[in-house]
Amino acid sequence: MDLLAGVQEFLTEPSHWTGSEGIAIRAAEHLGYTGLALLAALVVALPVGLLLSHTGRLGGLVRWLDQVSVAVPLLGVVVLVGLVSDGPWPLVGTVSLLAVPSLVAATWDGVLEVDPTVSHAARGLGMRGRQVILRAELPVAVPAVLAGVRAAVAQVATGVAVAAYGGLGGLGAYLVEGLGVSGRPTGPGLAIAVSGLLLLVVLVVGMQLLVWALGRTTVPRDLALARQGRELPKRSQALGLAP
Amino acid sequence: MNDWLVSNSDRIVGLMGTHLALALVPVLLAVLISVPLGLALSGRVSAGPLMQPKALGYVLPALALLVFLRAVVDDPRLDNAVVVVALTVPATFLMTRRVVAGVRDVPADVRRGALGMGYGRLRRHLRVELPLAAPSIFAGLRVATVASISLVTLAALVGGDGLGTLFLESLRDDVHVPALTGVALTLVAAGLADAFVRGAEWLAVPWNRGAEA
Repeated sequence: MDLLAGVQEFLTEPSHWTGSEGIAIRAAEHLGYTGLALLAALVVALPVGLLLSHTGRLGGLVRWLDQVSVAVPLLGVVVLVGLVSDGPWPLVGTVSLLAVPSLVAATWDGVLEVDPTVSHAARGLGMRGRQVILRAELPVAVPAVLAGVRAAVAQVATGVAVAAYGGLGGLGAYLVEGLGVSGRPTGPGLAIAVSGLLLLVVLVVGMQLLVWALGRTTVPRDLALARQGRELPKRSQALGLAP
Repeated sequence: MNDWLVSNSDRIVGLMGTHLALALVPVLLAVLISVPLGLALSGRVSAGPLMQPKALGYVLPALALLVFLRAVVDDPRLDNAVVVVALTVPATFLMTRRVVAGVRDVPADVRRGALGMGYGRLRRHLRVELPLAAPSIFAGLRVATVASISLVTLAALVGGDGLGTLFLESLRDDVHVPALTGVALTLVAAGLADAFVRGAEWLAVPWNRGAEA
């Protein structure tokens, strides 16, 4: 098959991996842009999501913005941003901004999932507003927030790839190189584009595994079990007193 | 800006028509696939990977399928079919999750009630579970429709038709008017389609009017 041969040839040619336009540099660029955009989006979305869901206000707006961000044609926006601005940062900022609504919605859902008795109990223990958010609602919402972050990894990494059409570096450059901007792309070009997308998928899955591993270490085991709908071990079992 | 719009108005209307067709056929297919699939999966304890469809998002699968299928099926006559197939997959994922969630939220008492009234499996699905899951299914339909309309713009990358071609035109000619027009029209189309699905829900699910899904 032509495609398979083309992809194999592209990925196994050593000279494609090195140099300033090589796969190694572009993958590193992609990783960097994605990480920064994700971090920026989180810094904005997490406090906003926690605060809004704590007060229960503006839920309709959160949903609406989440839907609008789905409707935004990424390609067109990055082309426009690329035309009116210079350098990588406006493009990275755009991709980051587009990830904010879904992260806010994920945080919102996570806190909404929190049993209201948790918040009441926290108040009963004498916690104040901010303490309730940070010490009761946030920890319980962490699994949902992490699921949102995993989804955002894919969204942002894909956004960074498409942003190559606005002039951003990274693995998306192989899309532009392979597909061109006029007419139907041809066989060899498509092989380059498919190779670039393969690398992108590997990168996304790798980053998601990292987030997942982070979740394993931060989410309490009982909470993780409860979310999967599995029985919590009884206290006697947990202590090894019962079979 | 006006000059370009006036001289290209016919072409833009044509692109809009193709765009909507390429976006809505996958949604239709997704409905036909996801409703039976969702009903079948809802009975299982673990619906497996289908319940984590957000794992790779919906943009990456759409983009990857577009390029991959286009590379495998290298035939200009089948370009539109490639776009439709590539977009049916993410739309189906987006919808199936909502169908499963909606059917699972049907109270066990209601299910037992249907059983007690002698409803068989098929009748229970059609007359009890689907109507009760309808708000959730329509919510999925709205997301799938809006996403599909936005995703069709990516088809331009593999030589497909639709409003996305305006973005590439902007890139080639280094002018922003075509891309601006394309973005605006895509958003308008998504907004109208969303309103249309809401209207359909209002008609089809009269008992849920006014409730926020």
